[in-house]
Amino acid sequence: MTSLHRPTSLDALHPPADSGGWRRWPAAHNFVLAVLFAGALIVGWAVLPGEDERIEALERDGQTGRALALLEARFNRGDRQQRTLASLRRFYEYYGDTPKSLTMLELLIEQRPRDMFLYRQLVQLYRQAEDEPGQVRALKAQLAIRYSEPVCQRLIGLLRRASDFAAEQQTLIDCRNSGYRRQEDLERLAFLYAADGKLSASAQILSAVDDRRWLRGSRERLMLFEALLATEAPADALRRGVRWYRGQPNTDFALEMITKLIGNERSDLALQMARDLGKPGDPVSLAAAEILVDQVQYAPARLFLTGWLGQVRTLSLETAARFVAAAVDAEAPSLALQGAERYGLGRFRPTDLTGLAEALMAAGQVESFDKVRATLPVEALAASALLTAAIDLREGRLEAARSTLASSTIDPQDERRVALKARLLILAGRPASAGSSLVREPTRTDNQLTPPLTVTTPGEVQARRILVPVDVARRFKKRRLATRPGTVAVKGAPAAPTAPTAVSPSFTYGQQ
Amino acid sequence: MREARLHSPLPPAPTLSAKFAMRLLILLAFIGAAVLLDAARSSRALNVEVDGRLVSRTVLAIYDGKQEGPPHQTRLHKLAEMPLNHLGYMLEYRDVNGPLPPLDELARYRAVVTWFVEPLADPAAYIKWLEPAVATGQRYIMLGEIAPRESDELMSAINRILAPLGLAHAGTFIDLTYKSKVAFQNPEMIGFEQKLDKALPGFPLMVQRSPQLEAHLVIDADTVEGRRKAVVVATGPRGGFAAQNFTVVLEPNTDRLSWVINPFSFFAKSLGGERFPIPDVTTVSGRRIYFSQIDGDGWNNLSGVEGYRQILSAEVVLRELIEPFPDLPVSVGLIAADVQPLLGGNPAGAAIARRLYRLPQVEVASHTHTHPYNWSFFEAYDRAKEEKLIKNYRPPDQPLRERVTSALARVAGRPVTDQRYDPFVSGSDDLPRTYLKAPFTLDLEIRGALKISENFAPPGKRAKLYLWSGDATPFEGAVAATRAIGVRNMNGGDSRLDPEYPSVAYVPSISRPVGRERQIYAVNSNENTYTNDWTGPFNGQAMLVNTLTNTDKPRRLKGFDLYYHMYSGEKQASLRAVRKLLELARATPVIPLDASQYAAMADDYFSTEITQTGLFKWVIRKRGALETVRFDDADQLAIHDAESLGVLGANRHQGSLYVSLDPAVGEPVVVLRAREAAEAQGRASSTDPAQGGEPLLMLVEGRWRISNRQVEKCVQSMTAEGYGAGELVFEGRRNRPFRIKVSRDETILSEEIRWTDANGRLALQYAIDARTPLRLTFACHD
Repeated sequence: MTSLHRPTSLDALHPPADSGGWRRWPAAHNFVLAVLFAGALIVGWAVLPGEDERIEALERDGQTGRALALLEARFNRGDRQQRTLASLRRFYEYYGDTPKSLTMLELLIEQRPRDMFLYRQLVQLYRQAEDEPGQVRALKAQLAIRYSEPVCQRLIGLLRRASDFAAEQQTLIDCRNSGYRRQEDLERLAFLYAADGKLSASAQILSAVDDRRWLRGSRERLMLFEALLATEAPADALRRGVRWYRGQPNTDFALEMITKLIGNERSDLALQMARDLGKPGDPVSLAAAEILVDQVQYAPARLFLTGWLGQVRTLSLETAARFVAAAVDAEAPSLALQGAERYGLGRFRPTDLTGLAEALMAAGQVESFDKVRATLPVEALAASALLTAAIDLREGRLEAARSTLASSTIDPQDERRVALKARLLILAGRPASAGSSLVREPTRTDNQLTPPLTVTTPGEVQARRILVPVDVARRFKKRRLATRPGTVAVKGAPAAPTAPTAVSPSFTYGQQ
Repeated sequence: MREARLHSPLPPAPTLSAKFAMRLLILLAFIGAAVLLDAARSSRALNVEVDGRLVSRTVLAIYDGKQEGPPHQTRLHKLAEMPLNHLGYMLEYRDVNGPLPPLDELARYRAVVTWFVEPLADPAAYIKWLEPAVATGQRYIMLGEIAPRESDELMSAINRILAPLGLAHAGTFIDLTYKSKVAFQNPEMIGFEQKLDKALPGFPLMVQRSPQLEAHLVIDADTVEGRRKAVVVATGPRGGFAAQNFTVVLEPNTDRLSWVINPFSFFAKSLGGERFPIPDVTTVSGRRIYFSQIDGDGWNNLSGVEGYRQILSAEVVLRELIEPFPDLPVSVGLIAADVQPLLGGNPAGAAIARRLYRLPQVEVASHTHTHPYNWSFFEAYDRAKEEKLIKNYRPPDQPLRERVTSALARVAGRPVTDQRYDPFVSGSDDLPRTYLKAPFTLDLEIRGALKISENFAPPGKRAKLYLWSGDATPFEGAVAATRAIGVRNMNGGDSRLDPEYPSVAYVPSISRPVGRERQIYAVNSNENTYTNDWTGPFNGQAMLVNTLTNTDKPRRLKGFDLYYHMYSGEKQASLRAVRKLLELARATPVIPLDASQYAAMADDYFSTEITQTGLFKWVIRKRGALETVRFDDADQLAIHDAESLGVLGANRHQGSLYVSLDPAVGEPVVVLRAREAAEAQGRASSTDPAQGGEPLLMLVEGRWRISNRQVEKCVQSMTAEGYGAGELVFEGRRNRPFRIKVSRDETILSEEIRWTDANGRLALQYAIDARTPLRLTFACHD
């Protein structure tokens, strides 16, 4: 509607009387305006930035102090919204206020008790605060919600570091039941079980690890080997042992396993292992001869040793000493001398050769005896009354020899020396006691052993152990002393062979 | 006859019984005289024995360079040297693969120590040297193995070596231990940080052969010969032995080491437990030392701290952490190239350097010229090699957003605002140093850098300290260059002893051996390690408080070193952490020193000579800047004030007696006596001690360094110097009045009359600036 009428100011004060609609207009107009104003207010209010937005804006502008103040005010008013708590936590972290940050996180966790992400943050915060008990609590809480390998690993480590071995073991068990398969920790659990005397549990865990990816350390392998033997599973032990050796040949380890089999009265398996693992002329196969000697099967042992010596290419002192001792024990001093000469008489320790010298003299092989005794130092000769007497006799000092023999006392169990003394007495013109014979006496002494080695490196290097080289024969010693001496040999004559027990023909391979 | 006898002028002839009695008397007299003579002789012999005997503090450390690398990478350095330093000993390293000292030179060593684990290249050659060495009577401390891998041939020689220790090797190693049981363990020696494992580790079968050997851990082992007792940790008059698995263990899941044996106790017992004044670098004036050093890294970084945005971090540090703490000295090491635009630096940083070095509490130092990260690269420097590295270096990728913005800006022909990559400025240790534009020269790197720092300082204020950068493993020539200029050097070590690093294995020794030189390690670690290489949490250094506590009790292993970088001014959290530590330093009874003073003390720890001149009397020589000696387990001992010379006083901490030496006295004499006797004298005497040459008051502790004490008749004066308000505690006779005067250059600053309390203590506090020395005078006031 258009009108040419231009109202004056008075018009405005007095609208036309005939326009009743205009009279109502001011009220409607005011109402509309009021509505618009109210609407604008509402819209304005609605579009005004809220406190959260203001906080964000302040933070964006670098006014973190003001933002924090707003948040703290909200918190003090009782606001426990997750958003508030999370923001406060973030601000406290920014300011480096770890205790307050922890409080906010704990409040958040109260509201979200199954939020793994929050728990991870909690663990991290406890770690930052160097609060180890808190860290352990948080890790346990995390595990109670859901299994996690890193959480298990950390918790186990913390408990172990705190020397809380019972809690460590329980956590290991719980984690394992939940699916934890970290090899080092499972191996650790097996050792803890073994310390409790639970060898079957130990064997079960180690077998599982070994089946999965093979045990790596020789100590762990040996533990499993022993646990299997203890739990009446020697065949399994043998199977694994052979597999380990073939995967990673280690003479010392093989000898250790053979020793353990013998220690468990399983010489048959020990022989089988020596056969399976050894090669002609190597230190492992020499164990077969030692086992035969241990079983008083001298003839096969001699046969084996002869073949073995024919195959051998290089000899270490330890192996050479083992050979000499085994040959002497198998009543084959000539063979022992042959082996000793092969290695070099001058390279032996005196203790390795005194037994050989005695055996040669007892067997009446005087020229060989002279050869050996020439390499022995005076002290070594003087230490043995029988050798002293033998030398006196060889050099014609009859009275001196008689005197030495008269004053010497021999252990009646020491049959080689008994036989030697008898022979010397005869040579000295004195009657020998009955029953003297050349039989085996362990010629290996403690100091022939290879020393132990442990390689456990502190610091950055992970502790690892190298297995101890083992003198198999020495391991037999105790048993052998306990066994009844073998057949008595006639002095001066070649030793009478004992009836060989059933030996696999393959044991003659050493002669090839 | 009887009468005649009675009156005879001659003595009566003795009867038989009288004769016998007389003879007995004469005999007794002879015996008595002989006993006295013998006592006198033995007492003289004792004096002769100790008279002028130089205390042997050097231990020969033989390591395997082929397996472990240079000395600073060895177990002996990383693990054993700190406890040995704490006990007063220093290590002299020799590679087992090189020539070992001739036998006639061994007398100068206190002991031979080895920690072999990996196989030696030639164990026989080493055994050949060791056997006669031990036969000379030399102490032998063996951790780990004797000479791995020992062959059969060596076993008898090994047993001859072990025999004097009272041990014998049975030639067996018990690998599977589940049948073994602990037969005996000494709780003072075993389970120091880590208890014995439930699943015992493997051990060698060592058997005890001498009753003199003190076994600390014995295991009842199951062997092929039956059950046998294996000694795995033992000490004796001729040394000590600890089997490898019972020394330090590594927890693999958390990758942390911890000691099973108590290394302090083990080494003390192995070395004979001799009491002597131990040079101490943790304490001065009876208080734990405090010092601080700042490496210049991040000098020009823009701060994100509220109120300091777009301001350089160095300025934030200046305003927030240095200016408000005039009582806490700090050594600031500038990276010279940081303020040289030609090398890629920012000239704006120079003004801050000037302002910093003007402050009296700031010591001028240098943090190198071009900031080498990898010092060994520069030992045989090859510029061509370095240039090749620069050429081949691929900088980290820019974030996608930045790349897009830059590309758009380039398309639009507008200047690219992002930081352009400068191939000659490296932000990380991917390249050998930060500023690569100019070739490296050692002289410029050290002398030049120090000179540049000095140029920003007021005239006369000299640079005194060189702070190593990067991996902080300088080569011998570099350390020698700092010595040649006459400045001290420091950094490296990264000491931690807190729940995160819960072992003294993470507390380093005083210094790092580098050829014939010594690099002095920083006393505490810096924020870089606490913040995981500055990736957060940025308040990480606040945890230093744990290390500070743990290195003070139960034994004070280290001082208080607040060590940080300029980039701590970049973050709110890091700034807060350092500020809190400064406040802690202010609230703790420490004695603030310049960092170079500590470095000097640490250097002189090694030159100090101690000569025993009596049972409880020692002369200290060549001590340089070293100001304290310590006696451990000294609850029953006290300083003999009257007999000692150049001793300012003593304080007690954790059972140790910290004796303050007067820096003005060249060769102080320290005399001990029973504490009871000292206290009884303090109670009984009423005369003025000064009249008898005894000091009036002895220093117990103080925030200032005291020197040049003069004792005259009833007057005692001394010079005091230090940062912050003077807090001094003296001890003397009980309830005695003194007129105390504080003056400087004839000007009396304070004068008062004070009484010692019922315990003889006199505590003084002065709000006087003592950075310029003061003179304190105590006069009797009766």
